[in-house]
Amino acid sequence: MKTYKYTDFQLEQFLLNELPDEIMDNIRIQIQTDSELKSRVDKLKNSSSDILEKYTADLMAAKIRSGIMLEKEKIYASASGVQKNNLAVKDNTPFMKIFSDYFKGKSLKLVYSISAASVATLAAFVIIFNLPGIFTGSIPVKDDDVIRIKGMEPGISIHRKTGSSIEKLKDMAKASRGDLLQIGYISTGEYKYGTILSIDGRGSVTLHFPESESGETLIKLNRKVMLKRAYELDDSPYYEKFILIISVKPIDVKSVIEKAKILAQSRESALNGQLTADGSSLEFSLTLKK
Amino acid sequence: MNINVEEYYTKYGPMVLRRCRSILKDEDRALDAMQDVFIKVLSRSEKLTGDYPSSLLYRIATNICLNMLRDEKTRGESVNDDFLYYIADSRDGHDRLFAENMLDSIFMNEKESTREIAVMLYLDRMTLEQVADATGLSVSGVRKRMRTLKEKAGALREGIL
Repeated sequence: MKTYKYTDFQLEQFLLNELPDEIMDNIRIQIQTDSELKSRVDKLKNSSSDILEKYTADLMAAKIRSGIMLEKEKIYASASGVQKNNLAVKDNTPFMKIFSDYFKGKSLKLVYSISAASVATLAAFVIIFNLPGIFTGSIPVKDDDVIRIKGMEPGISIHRKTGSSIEKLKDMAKASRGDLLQIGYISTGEYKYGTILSIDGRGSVTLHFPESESGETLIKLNRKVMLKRAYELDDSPYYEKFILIISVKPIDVKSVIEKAKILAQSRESALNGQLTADGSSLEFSLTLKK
Repeated sequence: MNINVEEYYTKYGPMVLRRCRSILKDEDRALDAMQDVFIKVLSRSEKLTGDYPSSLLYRIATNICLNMLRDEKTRGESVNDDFLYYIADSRDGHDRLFAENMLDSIFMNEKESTREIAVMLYLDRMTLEQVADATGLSVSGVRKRMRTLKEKAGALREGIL
């Protein structure tokens, strides 16, 4: 029997059952005798399982939905000729790169005005580069001193100051006692309420936003917002998991903290458990290894 | 067309991410590109038909990744594959029209851009016959599309196309 060399895309379509019947049948038959073809198909199947395990449907769908809302806004604005907020910068521009390139004098296609950019960028620099101590020094920056960037996705970010440099920490990054961290968040769409807390390896729960259990949970939308105060890691062992919850409704912070304390009772639940279960909120986390 | 995002991602996400990985060679950027593909497609879900969407998603993924490479080149960022960047940045007359509204062109099932064809030949290692089958062009039509690109790219990488 003549064997045919199928392309990767044809095999993708085979797995999706999106090829004409004749080709589907041919592949099914050829797989019986063609070990290389079978191996390629198996590899794709395994890869799909790995991807869906690593990037779960619920998390990705939340990000995609959020992006769709922003995209529809853009489409609408484009169709109606509306001039959107002139503090927007190019899509997908990494947050730190905006700062570093701006100060290197690159234009970076920034479409916001110099005056507005100066205020916003300088404010963010003050937040990031002049980190105060543990919940002590407050930063002389107003709530509105934030950067608005189009095409953003909701989530939590952590920056660490090491000497004179600032680095953005990825999930499961290594961190140590004494590290100075700046927590930031982005929320979009209808998720206009939020809270941020962390659980450490000793099972302690720390509230980062709002500043008290009774504080206002209303947050900024469509902007990268840095909390007013930096956070210094203590000597608690193993990990510190930072959790952002954004919601379409005001959040009962006290109740969230109570749930967090329950999760914090075991490392397994602290690292893998979730604080929210209803459809009106989204939860994001970033864990640092210690 | 009403689409359940979770189901759509579960069905097509792995294919799209693999496509983005193959072009961008970087997990984070591939992940960004994959999300962008779904956002672009689902934002225009009213244009989706009941037909098999894998071709649409694959083409949009290819174009979004090529645009990312082109933008990186424009910004002078790391260029680790000269020829792929060259493809990303190259446009003939057809591509210029195509690029005016890439998404609409793909949704309207217009012929593949020269860039897409170049990727099939260079990156996917497809034969001229396979590309012809995939694009609906004749083999000579594929050759013709590649001729200009090949001449210009000759100095970059001899004998690829």
